[in-house]
Amino acid sequence: MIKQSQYRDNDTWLLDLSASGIQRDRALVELRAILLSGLRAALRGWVHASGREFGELCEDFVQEALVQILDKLETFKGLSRFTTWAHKICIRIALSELRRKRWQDSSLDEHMEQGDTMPDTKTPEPDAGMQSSMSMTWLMTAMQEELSEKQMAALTLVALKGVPLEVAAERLGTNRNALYKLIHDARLRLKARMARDGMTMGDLGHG
Amino acid sequence: MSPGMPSPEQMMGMIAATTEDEIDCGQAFELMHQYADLVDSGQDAAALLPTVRKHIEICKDCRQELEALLLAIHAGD
Repeated sequence: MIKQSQYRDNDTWLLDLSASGIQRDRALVELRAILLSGLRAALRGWVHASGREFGELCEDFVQEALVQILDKLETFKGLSRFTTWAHKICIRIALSELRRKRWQDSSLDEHMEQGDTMPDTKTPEPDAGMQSSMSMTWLMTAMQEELSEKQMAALTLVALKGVPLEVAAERLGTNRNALYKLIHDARLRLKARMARDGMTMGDLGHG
Repeated sequence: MSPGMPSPEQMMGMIAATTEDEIDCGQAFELMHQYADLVDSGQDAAALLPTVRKHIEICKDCRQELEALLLAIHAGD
């Protein structure tokens, strides 16, 4: 059974937020407080969670979320608590912006320059063993031989260098969904190559 | 390789686990609130919504958003 921790149930939220005047205003005030409380808890690992700047940042995100929530109200299908759906929208807005800010000063172009679209295999980690070295060699060869330039750039940025999807998508002139699909296609190609090369999970130390 | 990034073996494990029927971030987002409420209420979200489970295992960005969402809804419990 899903808990409904606030006094409003889903139908009441939808009714009140779709109304006008004081009925809607009261619901908005309550929803704003719920989102703000949730966002403050959710962002503790992302930003220094004290001081005026943190509060202002959260308020800006919540304000933007409220606009989107009201816009999308008719798309809520009731498959969760209304407030969970609303938190989801707020979290997406906040993390997208924080990721952009975190990476805005990082020159991804350097990663994209020719010769640096692949992980550095010339200087293995000091504790990297023979298995790791062989895996890296296979991975590098397979990526070079199986993937398009765009797939290689995407996989390298996101999977190997840890660049967030939205940030990488922006730099590659695409969007998050399309980039995920591009990387998914790349993984499928590499998986097929693994099969052709007769590699098993045991070869990876998982078997 | 950047610190904290997957090892070649982890990367290859991820490649080996790739399936044709994975959902993308947009599809995962459409189900994320449902998944979070199932987790929050102690139900077996992974069994009930296996495509979301699979996606968040692979997609770091969506996994971060789910973790943040769970923190947010716990704040109101």
